[in-house]
Amino acid sequence: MRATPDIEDARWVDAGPSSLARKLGAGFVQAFVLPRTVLARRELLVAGVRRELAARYSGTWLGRAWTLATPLVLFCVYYFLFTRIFGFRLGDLPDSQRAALGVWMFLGLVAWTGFAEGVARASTVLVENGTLIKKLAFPAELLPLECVLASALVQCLGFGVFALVASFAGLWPPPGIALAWCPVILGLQLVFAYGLALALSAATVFVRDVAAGLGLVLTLWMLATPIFWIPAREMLPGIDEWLPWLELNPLHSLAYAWRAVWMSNEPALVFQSSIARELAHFAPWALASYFFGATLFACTKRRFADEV
Amino acid sequence: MAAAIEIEGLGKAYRRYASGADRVLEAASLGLVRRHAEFWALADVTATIARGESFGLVGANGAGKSTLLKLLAGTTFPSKGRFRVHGRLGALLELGAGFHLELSGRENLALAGALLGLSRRELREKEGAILDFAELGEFVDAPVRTYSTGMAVRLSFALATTIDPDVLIIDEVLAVGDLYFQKKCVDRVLDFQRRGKTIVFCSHSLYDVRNLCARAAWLDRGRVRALGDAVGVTNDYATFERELGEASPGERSTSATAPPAGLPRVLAAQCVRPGGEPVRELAAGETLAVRVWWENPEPARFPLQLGLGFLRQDKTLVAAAATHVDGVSVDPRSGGAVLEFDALPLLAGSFTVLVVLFDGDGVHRHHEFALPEPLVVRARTKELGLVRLPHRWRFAPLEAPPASAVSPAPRAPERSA
Repeated sequence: MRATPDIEDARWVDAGPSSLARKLGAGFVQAFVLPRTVLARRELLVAGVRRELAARYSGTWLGRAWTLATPLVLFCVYYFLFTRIFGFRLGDLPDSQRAALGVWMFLGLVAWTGFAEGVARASTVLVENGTLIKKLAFPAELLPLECVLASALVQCLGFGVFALVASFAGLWPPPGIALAWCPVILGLQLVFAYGLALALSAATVFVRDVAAGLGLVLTLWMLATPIFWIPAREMLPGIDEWLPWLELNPLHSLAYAWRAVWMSNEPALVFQSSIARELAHFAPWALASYFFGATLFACTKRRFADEV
Repeated sequence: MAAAIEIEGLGKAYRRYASGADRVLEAASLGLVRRHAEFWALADVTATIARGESFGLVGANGAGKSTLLKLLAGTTFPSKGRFRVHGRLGALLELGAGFHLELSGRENLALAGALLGLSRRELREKEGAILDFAELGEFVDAPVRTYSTGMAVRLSFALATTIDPDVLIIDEVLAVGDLYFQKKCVDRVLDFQRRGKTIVFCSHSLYDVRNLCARAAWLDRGRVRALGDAVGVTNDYATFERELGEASPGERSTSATAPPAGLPRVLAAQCVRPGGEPVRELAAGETLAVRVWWENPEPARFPLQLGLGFLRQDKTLVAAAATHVDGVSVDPRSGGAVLEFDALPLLAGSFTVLVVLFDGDGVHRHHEFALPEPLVVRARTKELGLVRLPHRWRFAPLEAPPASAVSPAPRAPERSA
């Protein structure tokens, strides 16, 4: 930081390594420094997340109330649609859990949106905030994180709305001890999403097509993830053949973990796995994503100001 | 003396791609496939700027001045060489730089403060002073994109100087804003100098550079052409520009100074005798009239001042007249004017007549037009010099010279053998 002028020992600013291998090496080292940089700038980060959230509904009359209204209305719609109107019943579920399909889809959608929206927003965030980078020397690594955090915050609100409404209205039993997994799942999700956000935001600076293609990729990804379908033979007879492939998808594990937490690990809902096992599958993905993203970002960051 | 800024072989290359496909290919191969052309905006600059020094940068557009300042300010990174800045740095780069356009002035202050590493308490203490200086009024809480140019400059200037940096970088912003504010800025810069702060300053106004800086560097196409005493460097630069102007006389008046469409411009100018007969040659002491026609697409937006100068062949300004100096108001609508010189006091020589269309303050020049044919003046007497000064001789008896009169140095005493 420039706040404490170290007049004698100012650091040299140079052109950085020139060969690709050394660039990547230096970038990889930066991945370990990044958490400290972020922490040192947490005030900026918090302000940024606030701005990001405020911008979503800026100019609307309800303002931030929309962040609560959206999941509330969505939940009601899913509940009525799949419980009352379509009358889906899942196998052996007791009567108290007839809302299962609506709850399943709602939770899946909230988790997916929390992840995907942050990544999608982050992909264009550097280009959109070009002035901050070009003219303010703003720490660019904060921008994708702001998007990811804001989106995860909305996701948490969605979960909170579900827990309150479902418990009070008696639609679904309140979550139990599995709730203790929340910080771990959220932490890993953030690491995973931040890594992707770093990589995509940096790539978009150089090739704008990345952000343009991302929407399509995310849609396909969502369809491949059990958000609107249940990986159960009763629902999808041919699923067994594909399941080993579909389970490679890190979001498959993430969606599972979140649902297991909020749906009290209901075994009747194909919850044959365990949160710990799914997270063990997700964690390597999260770390790989983070190191890939952070390295790519660090390697290219010095050129952002010239390209945005 | 301790250095405030050390610059060693600094260079900055920008990349140019012929097509989008080249860009994608290079990015996808992580730079292993090279498909760009390099443009060196700055090449191999070495300089040391001492603590407490005011350092000026001069050079034509595109010489790399702004690139160098941007590198120092940390908004872009070097491609070659290295530099370091000792102490806290405040930068005033191009207009509107340093602001998030969607945020209000106050929020921008908080953002900039956090970026500079000020604590909240420090920022709260300074906020009042900054907003006072910027004189934003009720716009404090409006988004910066609604600000006028002057307001944005005021805010950035207030911010960059109130955080009390050790090194202040100023890129050509002093010429913006109204005169009142310009003076406020100059006062503050002078105050900075007095307090022993380091200033790096870039300007097209050689006058400002000479006034504010002790040393200066002249950048030419990314390289240091001269570095040293500010007066010497600016003179070298001015001479060079003049020679350039002489080498290609057409270029300067058309490509270098012709204003873009939509701005006021000189349509034509002509030297005539009082009767209206065009003149290229006249005798010293005769009456000269210069007729000027101009065009102003938006008179309401561009108030005008008109200036006229006589330049010797080496581009030394011999004499000039300007409406803002004379306190004459100009009707800014497209039109014309005649400037008359009774008994022209120019002596023998060949003079270039330069017509200048200024903005309302007489600072910014919308258009400069030098008449291609010089005005030739023939002397009728043996008077010497460039101009004839009105004078009279008196031979009244004088008493002994007072102490204030200057005597020539006494002759050296003769050496005795």
